[in-house]
Amino acid sequence: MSGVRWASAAGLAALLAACGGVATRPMQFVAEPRQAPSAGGGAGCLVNVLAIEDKRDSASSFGSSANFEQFANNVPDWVKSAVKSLDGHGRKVVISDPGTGTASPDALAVTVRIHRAYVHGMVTSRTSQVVLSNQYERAGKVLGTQFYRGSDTSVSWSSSPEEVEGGMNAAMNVALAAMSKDLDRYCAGKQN
Amino acid sequence: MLRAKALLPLALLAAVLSGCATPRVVPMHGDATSRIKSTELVVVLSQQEIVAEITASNVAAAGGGGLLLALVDVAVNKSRADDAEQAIGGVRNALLDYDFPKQVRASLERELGQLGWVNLQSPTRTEMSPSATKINEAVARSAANAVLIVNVKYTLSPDFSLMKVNAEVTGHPRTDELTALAKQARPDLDPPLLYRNSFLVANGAGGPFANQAAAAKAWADNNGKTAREALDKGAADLAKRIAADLELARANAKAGGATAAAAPTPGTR
Repeated sequence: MSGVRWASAAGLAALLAACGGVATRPMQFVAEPRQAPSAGGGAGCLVNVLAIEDKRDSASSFGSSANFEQFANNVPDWVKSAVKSLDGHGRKVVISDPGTGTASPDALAVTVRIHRAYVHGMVTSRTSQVVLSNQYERAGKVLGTQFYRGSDTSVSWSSSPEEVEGGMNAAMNVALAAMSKDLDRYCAGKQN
Repeated sequence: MLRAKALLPLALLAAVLSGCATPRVVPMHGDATSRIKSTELVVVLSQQEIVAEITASNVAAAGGGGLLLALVDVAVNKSRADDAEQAIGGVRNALLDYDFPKQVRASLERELGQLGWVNLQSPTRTEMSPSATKINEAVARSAANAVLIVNVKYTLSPDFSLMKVNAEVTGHPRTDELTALAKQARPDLDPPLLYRNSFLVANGAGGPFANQAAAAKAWADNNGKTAREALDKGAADLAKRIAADLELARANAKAGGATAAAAPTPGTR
């Protein structure tokens, strides 16, 4: 009986240890289904993303594991896909090409800044973190700046790139939920 | 008496195991301190934010193993990680504009700069990747006589009462002469090391606190004032301790030299 228990434990340990791997492709964002904006929210609102600025200390660091540096390198593109996914539900999100970011006077202009994007191992769990901030403007006047932190804590079964990507996407979806509400608020002209 | 007898095999096992282990600390070779003409400092800090420690569940080990108990450990660890992550969010938000790597660099440059024999080069390199390959490349690329790698981590203790800053420090030779000295002192090490030691400093936020959330609030209040002060102090104390440990080798070498000079050499009377 004891042998069976040890074999099971060894099997689990082997499973946990043998998996994992190095990310060899860019991270892909997958959006979770979102609720439509509340009544009077952002119907017909044009959101012009002027720029996505990378403010991280290092563009190649992804936290406590060196296996996911490929993911770190493409974080700005991953954020761009995530912000683009806010398009719809009566909102039109347009992302300007770098250096051409000028908004039409009626549009809500947004500058997205990336502050953190990383994973960190916690014994047999893993936390994924993303921190963004948006500066909102209209007709050249800054309306406000809001910070968005998305976080996900999950069991680290395999530490595979797919598992890490799933955690980062879950964290990003948390951040986007708050960002979506703010877009509705700013689109409706309610800044406070 | 019976209890003491029962503990004897354990004590014996511990003694045997510790005897077999390679000594972790490598004191700076005294002779090396007069031969280092330049040192490059590399600060490795892979964390983007402060990390919460959790106490690992040990049910499987205590219960003799087994898949079910291992799964209990996984579930308990997940629950503790959830609680810790929930509580630490406010501290992280309060520290978003705080540049801890800069504090560490400045403290190390200040303290090591006072050790003339280290001949600290400028600028200090910062490596944000924990990759051993990248760290080895940083050593290999260096044009200095020696490279000092300071690998720093900063955490909140499991109950959030202490802000901990710890560092693994290694000194790497980059000249034939220093490499030979390192190999002579510790032939068992590959790659050869001139120096290796670990340091930990911890500062509290006052307290005691009723729970993690209360402690987290104390760290985060006033835009993280207490956390910032603890990290500033942690970086400063860490740098002082590293410098003091390195200087000890220099002092010991000098004392050894003085003793040798004072002692009559056999056959010279």
